[in-house]
Amino acid sequence: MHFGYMVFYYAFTFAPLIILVIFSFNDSARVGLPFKAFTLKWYAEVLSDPTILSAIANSLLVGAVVTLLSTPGGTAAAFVLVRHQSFVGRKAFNTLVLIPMVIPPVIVGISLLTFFHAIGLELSLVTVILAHTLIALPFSLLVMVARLIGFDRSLEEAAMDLGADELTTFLKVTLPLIFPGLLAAAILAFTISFGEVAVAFFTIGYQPTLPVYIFGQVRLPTRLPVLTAVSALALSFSALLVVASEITRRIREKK
Amino acid sequence: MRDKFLQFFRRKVQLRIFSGLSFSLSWFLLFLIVPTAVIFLYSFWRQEYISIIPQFTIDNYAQFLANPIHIPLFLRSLVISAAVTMGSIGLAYPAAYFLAFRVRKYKIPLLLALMGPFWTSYLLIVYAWKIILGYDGILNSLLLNLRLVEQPADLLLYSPFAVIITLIHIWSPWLVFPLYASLEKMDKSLLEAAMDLGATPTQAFLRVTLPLTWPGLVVAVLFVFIPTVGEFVTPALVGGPQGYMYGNLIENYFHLGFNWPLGSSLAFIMLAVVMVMTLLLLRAVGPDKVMESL
Repeated sequence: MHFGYMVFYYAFTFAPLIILVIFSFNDSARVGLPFKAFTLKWYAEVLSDPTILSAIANSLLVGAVVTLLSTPGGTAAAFVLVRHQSFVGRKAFNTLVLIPMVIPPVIVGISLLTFFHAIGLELSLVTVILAHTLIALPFSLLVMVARLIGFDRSLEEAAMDLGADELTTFLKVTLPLIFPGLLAAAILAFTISFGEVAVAFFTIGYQPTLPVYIFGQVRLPTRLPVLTAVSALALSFSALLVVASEITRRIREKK
Repeated sequence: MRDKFLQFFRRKVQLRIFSGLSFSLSWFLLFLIVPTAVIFLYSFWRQEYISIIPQFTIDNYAQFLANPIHIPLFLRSLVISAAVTMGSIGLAYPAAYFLAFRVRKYKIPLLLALMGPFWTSYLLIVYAWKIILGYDGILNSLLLNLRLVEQPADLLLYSPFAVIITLIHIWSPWLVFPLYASLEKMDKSLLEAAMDLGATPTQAFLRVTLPLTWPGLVVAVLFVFIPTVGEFVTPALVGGPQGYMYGNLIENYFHLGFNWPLGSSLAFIMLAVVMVMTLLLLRAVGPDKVMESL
């Protein structure tokens, strides 16, 4: 029985994504059956469409900056949470971490839109970066908490006993040890930002990120084949990132 | 002397704690708490044409009650979210259960594979469902080619059903992880004990396994039900008029309808409802437990 259920469950989970990829190669102006012929022309169209390319560039830029902000920020907080089991406000801080993860994105979106408007900050990729850092931060933090729980502090103590100061210990002992974890947290933060649409939709200016662009174009039937191709590209990119993240985990385990 | 040293040391620890948390804390305060306070304030103001008049009024909240579409839409969103939550748990629980207890080969690759959809942009998943379920979509073209239908069926897309199935698809792989973690941690001798004492497998499941996986289930409710109540992207793509949700209403007041104070009050009402739910759930399990089971 369990075998049948697992087959059903994995088929349900992956079929839509596989279908999306298959039909991105269909030589038809309509995304559907019959599957006429294999073509790469929708991909060629993606590569020659300057609006899609700039949307991709915007997403990469936003994702990169968000990663650079949320990874160190989340890591610093994770160190505190793992190494100081009790301090005033720990519970309140934990709750604060969970809020952005569960709150409906529409609320984050409209409140940031209103807030940016109230302080006179014009909407642009900068406001999307500010918003996405809020969303990615709890995830980076939790990944680092999970990685730091198993951290062997005796290595740090040994370095300190041998005369290294805090900074040297951190750079020469702690950082190399937590590096795979940092990489995993960074990849997750990037992925979250790269795929996020709901909050970006409210905080974006005139330059769309890729998901916001797709969301805006999806009502136009003539655009569907190209959007399917660019979606398949984005999917493969995420799949690559999962594999990369998994490799960093393996590296850590070997050590 | 010793006291002074201790005092200094304590201060230094607090300083270390504070500096470690400072980035996250300031980000959460500045971009989460303050903006929420701002929309709370706006929800008591009113809008005339394109200017917002900072004059206290509870008119927006009165409109929530008076407008005949607001409350039904809110209720519909709650019903859709409940269906999505139950559907995702219903699909993910057996998968997590089998992975924890039955599957022996390829356990880790199977678990890791489920991270795929979780890492995928959720817009892309909605988009995939749109091209599958659409009027001109793959399912309809299949039915037409097989001559099962004469005309493209419009049942599947643009309905609450399409919203529910899409959201279940998005959330259920996500849930396998916390559920698997709590099942895996479970002390299996408890099950043997229950069986020895004459419990049927169903009884053992209901009275031993299910209560022990309670934190995982709370995570499910917290992370699926609550964000889904405010969903607007999925209904916009696959929902149609019948699948239109409360989140679309709020979105509409901020864009086309252009009434920020009213939109803010609607958002705040939803926020209040989900906040009360979250606090009750967190009180039942504790934030530390929830974070552990993530």
